[in-house]
Amino acid sequence: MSNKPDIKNSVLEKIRSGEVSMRPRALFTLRIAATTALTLLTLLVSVFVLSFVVFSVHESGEQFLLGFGTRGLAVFTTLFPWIPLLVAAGLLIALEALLRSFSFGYRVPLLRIFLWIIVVAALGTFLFGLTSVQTYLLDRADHAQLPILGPLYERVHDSHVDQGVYRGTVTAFTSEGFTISHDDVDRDSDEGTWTIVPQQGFATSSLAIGEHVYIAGRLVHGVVYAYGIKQLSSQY
Amino acid sequence: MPEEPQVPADEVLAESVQKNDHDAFATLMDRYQPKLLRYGRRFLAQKEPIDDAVQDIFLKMYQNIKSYDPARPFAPWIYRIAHNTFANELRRKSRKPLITLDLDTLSAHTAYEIDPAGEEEQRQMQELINRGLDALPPHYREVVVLHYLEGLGYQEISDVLHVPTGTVGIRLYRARQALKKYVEQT
Repeated sequence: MSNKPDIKNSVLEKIRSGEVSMRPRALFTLRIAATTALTLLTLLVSVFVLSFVVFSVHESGEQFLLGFGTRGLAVFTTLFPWIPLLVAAGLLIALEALLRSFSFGYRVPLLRIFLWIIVVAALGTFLFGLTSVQTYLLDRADHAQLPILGPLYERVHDSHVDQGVYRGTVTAFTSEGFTISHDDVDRDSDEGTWTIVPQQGFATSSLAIGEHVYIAGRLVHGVVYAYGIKQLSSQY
Repeated sequence: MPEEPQVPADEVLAESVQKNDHDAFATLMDRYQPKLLRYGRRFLAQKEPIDDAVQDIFLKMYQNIKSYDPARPFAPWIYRIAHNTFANELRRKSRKPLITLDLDTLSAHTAYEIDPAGEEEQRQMQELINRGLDALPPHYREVVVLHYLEGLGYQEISDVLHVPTGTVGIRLYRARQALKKYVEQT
């Protein structure tokens, strides 16, 4: 073992000359604390984003599209907030990587730990949904008082005329159906007034003036021929 | 009858190093240098000297010694540093990831420890290792080296590689099968 003294002496020489020194314990404690904080923050943000996805689909009325047949399903897939969902999925994957830096994380198989993450995130999303945080943020966004996240939340109450989806308040009844108008005070393209012709079998009498409705239909010469109508119970 | 001088455990020496005891550090280097050279040579499957890599491991060990908890075994801690250093070396050489997605870490495997083999079986295993170790993929080669040559248990290897103990077991099982197959074919 002729090289043995060389390695040892070379290392000791570097230490004695001050070229290499011990890192303080505080640095490692700080690193663990930072990793723990980042892990918790990642979990909280992913729960918040997931909660937004669920809230957005529910509050916008997009979940009604699932009951409007295949056309509704197709529109639902285009309107679904995929980007926030992908962000949440990315955060959950990052969370798994962070957890694996702890011994309790790497000792558990990947799938099992990911399953636990999903369970915890779902539970967190459910509990977060019980609070009024999302409603509060949406209200702030509707009043143009929500910086950064504002555009994301404003989208929740938008009509999507280009996709054949209309939200609005019933303003009058006509011989063929009724009219709705939508004004969310932001003067964008989703505002307007439309005449709606309901699909066969829909009882217009079930509606009342001032009621909020969610409609999926095809716009032909200024008239919307609906294939799905649902009353919105919440304020929009 | 004179008492034999007690040899301090690695953990005790490491604790002394934390208090700036350079002699204790030198003793630890004496103990681990042959082990790390052997581990590195077999894991990297190379004949060229790996002194620089081992020196790097000792320097990292000294720099990070205060992150070591003396209540826990010392060997997995230093082998973890060695694993990272050698894996980086391997990545640098092959210019591709050591292992991209290890399916063995996905699901649970029963972490049954293989019986501490009898002398005959140990001899057979040693024979297989001598003849076919270099032909194994790095992630199989490494568990064989750590278990059969360095004498680490499943839990310790799990702490070195940061994989579940079941994964260590399944890798060892597959490595043995691959070794047997390779030796039979040659």
